[in-house]
Amino acid sequence: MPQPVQIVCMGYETWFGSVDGAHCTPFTGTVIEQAVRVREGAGVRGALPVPTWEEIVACAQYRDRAIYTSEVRQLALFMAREGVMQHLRSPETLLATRVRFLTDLDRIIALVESRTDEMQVLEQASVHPDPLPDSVDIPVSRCTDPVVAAGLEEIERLKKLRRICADEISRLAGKVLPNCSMLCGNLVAARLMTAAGGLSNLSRLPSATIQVLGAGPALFAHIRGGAPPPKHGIIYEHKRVHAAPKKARGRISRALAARVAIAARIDYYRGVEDPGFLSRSDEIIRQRTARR
Amino acid sequence: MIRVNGVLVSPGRKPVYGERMAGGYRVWDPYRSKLAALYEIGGAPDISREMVVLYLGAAHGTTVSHVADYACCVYAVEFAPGPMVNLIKTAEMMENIIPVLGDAANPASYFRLLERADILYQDVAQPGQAAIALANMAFLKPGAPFVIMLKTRCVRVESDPAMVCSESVQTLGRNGCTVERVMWLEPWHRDHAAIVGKAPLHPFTPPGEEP
Repeated sequence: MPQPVQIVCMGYETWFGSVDGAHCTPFTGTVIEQAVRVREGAGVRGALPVPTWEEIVACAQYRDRAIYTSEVRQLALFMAREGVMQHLRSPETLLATRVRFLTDLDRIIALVESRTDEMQVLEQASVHPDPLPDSVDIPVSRCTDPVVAAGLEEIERLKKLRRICADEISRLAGKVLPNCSMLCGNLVAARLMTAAGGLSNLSRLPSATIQVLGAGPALFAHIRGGAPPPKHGIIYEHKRVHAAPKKARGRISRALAARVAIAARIDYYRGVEDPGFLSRSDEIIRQRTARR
Repeated sequence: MIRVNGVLVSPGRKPVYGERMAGGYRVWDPYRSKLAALYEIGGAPDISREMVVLYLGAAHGTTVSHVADYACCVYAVEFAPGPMVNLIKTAEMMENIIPVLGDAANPASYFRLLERADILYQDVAQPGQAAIALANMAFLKPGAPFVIMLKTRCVRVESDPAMVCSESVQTLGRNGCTVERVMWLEPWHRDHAAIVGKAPLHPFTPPGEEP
């Protein structure tokens, strides 16, 4: 196979100057202006010219290599910080971080609750040696054990935090994922987006993947052989799926995922609610759900 | 590469991310860093003071910080903003790390920040790793060495790691690269292979980008 031939690039632009053959004009602008020049490179097609440091030092008229390193590092740090800030401030990132927080909170609450319950049962058992009480619901004020009392208080606080977090997720999802939220609920939509690694990723996923997002271990067990394929992942949390009879769940989650895949694309590219699409989707999902 | 009592180190004077020190140098743990594992096996080209390193998939900058101890400077490319936060912190501590927020699969978005590199080190966690390496070969000096860490599980989970690896080697070979050796990083890292080779000697255009 013949070697691909590089286009001989006579002139090119870069952050430190304009190079034209052997001639070079240094660019003397601020870091912000230099960053613009770097970003404009994204539009370049074909060969991407990259000079050696000797060429850069000569062109930009730096005293030595060390000066060049410190200049380019300053520019790179500026651009990296700017890019990170832009990402961290986007509603999409806010949504994803809060979804992860909620997932962890649920785990923490379940853990604290189960351990506190355990201690409460033991405490009651020691107060009334026989028989074991049916109910362990002692009011907080009557709890004599300081650990159990503090534990119960903490659970209340954690549940309040969870409510605040879930409300915020709901609000953000309504803005970031208007169509997905209407289809499968704000929280499920937000979880799907987070599992996909962002809205742009979710908008590019096939519906078959969306259907089993969050069912990772089950999917790998299937691929490695033996296990049956998972029918649903996060989508199961939507009432349309989990309220359905077991036999129908696969069918419903497939129909729902197919519409969510389209909704994600509308959310990503248009970002506004599409009532026509939503009523059509409801009709289609209802038809498939009602079948048989 | 420097060793203190048989332990691989890098010539930095104080810890960067909480690593141990040995003989006044920073310990470079092969369990944490795939490049360190490759040095333990004896498969990686040495990095020296005058070398410019292009590092794709810099992540949090732990391995980058060790490479920077040996090299002239390191262009550390990372796509994910989360790890980039830590990479920036590392770069603030070391004057020869140049952090680049960009997608290694789309080099046009960052090439204007770069200079010609003496060595390419790639450790990205996305499919199409051979294609990514090829797209970045144009930034290397002709015949410069490269090390590509192949996370075979990231390419396709269901296929055999050895097959994934040989496909990548063929792709590189078809496009003018010389693959010198392929080494598995057992026992330090499972299902990870290192492809070590040399960039094309002739000027090179990434595939699909010809006029």
